Amino acid sequence: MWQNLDYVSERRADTVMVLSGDHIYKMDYRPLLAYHQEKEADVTIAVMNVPVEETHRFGILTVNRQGRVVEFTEKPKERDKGTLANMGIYAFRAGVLHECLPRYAQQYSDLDFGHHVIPTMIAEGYRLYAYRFDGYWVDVGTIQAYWETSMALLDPDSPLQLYDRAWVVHTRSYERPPAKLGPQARVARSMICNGCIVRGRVERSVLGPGVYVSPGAVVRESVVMNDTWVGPGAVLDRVIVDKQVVVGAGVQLGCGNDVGVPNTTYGDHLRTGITVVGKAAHIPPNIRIGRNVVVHPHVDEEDFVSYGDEVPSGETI
Amino acid sequence: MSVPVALAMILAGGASPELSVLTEVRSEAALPFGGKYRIIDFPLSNCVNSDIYNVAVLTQYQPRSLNEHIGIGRPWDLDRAHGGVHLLQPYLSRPGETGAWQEGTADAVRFHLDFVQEQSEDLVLILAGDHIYKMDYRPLLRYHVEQRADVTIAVRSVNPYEAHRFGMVTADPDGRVTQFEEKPRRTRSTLASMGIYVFPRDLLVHWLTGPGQTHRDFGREVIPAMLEAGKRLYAYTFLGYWVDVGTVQAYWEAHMALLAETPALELHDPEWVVHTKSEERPPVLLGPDAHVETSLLSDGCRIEGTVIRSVISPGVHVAAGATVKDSILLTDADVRAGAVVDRCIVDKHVLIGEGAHVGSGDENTPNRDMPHVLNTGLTLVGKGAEIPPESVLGRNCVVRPHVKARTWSDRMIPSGTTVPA
Repeated sequence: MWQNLDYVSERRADTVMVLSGDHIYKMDYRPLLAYHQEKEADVTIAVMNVPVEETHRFGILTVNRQGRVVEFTEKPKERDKGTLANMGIYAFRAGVLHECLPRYAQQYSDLDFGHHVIPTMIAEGYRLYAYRFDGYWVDVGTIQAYWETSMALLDPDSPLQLYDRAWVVHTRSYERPPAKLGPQARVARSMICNGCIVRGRVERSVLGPGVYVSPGAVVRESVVMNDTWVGPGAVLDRVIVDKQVVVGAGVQLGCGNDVGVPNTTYGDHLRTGITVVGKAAHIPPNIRIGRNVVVHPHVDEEDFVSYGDEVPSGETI
Repeated sequence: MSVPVALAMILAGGASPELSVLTEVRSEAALPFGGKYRIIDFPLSNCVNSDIYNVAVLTQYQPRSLNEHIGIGRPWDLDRAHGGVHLLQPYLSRPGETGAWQEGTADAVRFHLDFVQEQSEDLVLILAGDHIYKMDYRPLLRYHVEQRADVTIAVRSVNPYEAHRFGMVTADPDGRVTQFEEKPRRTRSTLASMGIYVFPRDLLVHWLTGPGQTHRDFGREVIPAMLEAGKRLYAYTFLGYWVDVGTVQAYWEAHMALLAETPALELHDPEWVVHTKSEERPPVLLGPDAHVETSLLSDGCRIEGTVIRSVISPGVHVAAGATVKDSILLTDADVRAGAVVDRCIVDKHVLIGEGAHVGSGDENTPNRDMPHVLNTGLTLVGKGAEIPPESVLGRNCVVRPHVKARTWSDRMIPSGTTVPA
């Protein structure tokens, strides 16, 4: 933001909203802006209530009875700071950005809103207010969260309510024909996009546009992205498969009960049993691939040769 | 040889009474097809896929749906500074002039000859807006130039029993047309005109303002008269899938044909994309007890019940316990719990109440108001109609558009009945 302040001054706007590009939520920003004006705030921060045992994952705001922020603690170890978590959504008075950011940038080379800007502004006596948001909001920052958020879409009462015509989520869609389900298809509790052809079974899964599921194949509790091809008889279980992947005939992707074996390379992120396949990887026919496995993008059939017919859980290819 | 440059004129103004309530609210060209498309998408997409980027769409009957759909032509890449899509409406040319309503295909083109003359292309490709097919027009244009033809007619072979529905063409071994019979009762020819013509622009203008200035229709008048006058007419044979869904039965059959494992009309063809105006809709959601087989599901639909051999348009909802079989459901139709829809065509925004049974029994009495249109067992529900809960409708029934559930006097509707608005 500091590096783009000249752009901000060219806009002539008196309020600047700073948003994150990697959060999933539906929020009308107008009440927040109205609140910001009403409080004559320098900064208004959107917050949500989180369970007290999760406060250590968030920036926690402590507020007084008027909603004014008196303290900000990034990822507190103690549980006495309250339960209002910073959502990373800020409304700034434009002048405040000009006053503060150049000064703070002298102090901190890695100037961060949560770590530096907000605490320093509180210390300097600026008017910071917290705006409570009660809707659905997810930061899908981990594989597990991404998978869970995808699965939550399949609940008929999904909190995200994608089917609400009054709040359409727009995207760039390629022109694709309607999804086609063949005579042998069995699809339940799933979401499938235009251009899919399903001739096998799909259960509790999300299929992106143009995914092809061959006869006899099973896709279960998985997320499969654009134009991936799932060969005859292949079984996908708890996997996230990126775009344009080829899953050969008879492949078992995500198999075995050893879901607790963490990935040897990315153990911090992959320890809950989900196997991940990168974009345009090719998986040779009839191979068995375990849990918490990572297949890197553009991996080819030959890259599997040293494993024989089985890739054990926790491997990275 | 390079591909000759052509202006395309798509005739999309005709009324199609044979399609009953489906074309009461829109022209046939604007009729939804294949879940998310409208019929006009096929000729429009054929044009751009054939590198034809100057396209006129001639409208007349119920043009609003069509105008809204085409807009400035963005989905087809036809929103451009030079050429692009032109929506040509009928108009009164001089004060007091009567009969300005166009009375046929040639008449429609004659109305817009001033537009034709302003275009730079030497060839004019005349197309129908209500045919479903995928065709590369470039070989046809090349053939026209190679044969030094005055007019080239695209033809396809048909069964003898269908000949009475078409303009039938007889050609010599070089492809030159020797005979043209419009909808003959008996003929030895098996080549049917597809209503696709290539004209040199100047000849078209000359003919429609001179020798053929009373001609209203290409098939009935212009082509026979040109043949009579010794013009060089050539037939170009097209071998692909082509269908004129001019009847309710043909419309339904063309949908059912899409459900084959390798359909004659392949919509999943990345080399020949059929473009359309798509609303932003979420993916299809299938509920825990959903059962879907041999069907097309468009985005934004939610299926909690059973769908078998059906084509489902965007935003349709099939509730738990409902069954849809051998049917076509258009945009935002809502089938409530326990309802059964069997061999029906259900237009947009229709509400089918809980436990209603639409298309019931084996009684195949033709529709009393239009026995020649509805006699094959299909039941039609018009746009925005409401079917009351627990009602039962037989075969060949028609529910008029916008009928409200509270106005129904009877909930048992025997086969062949029309439910009035």
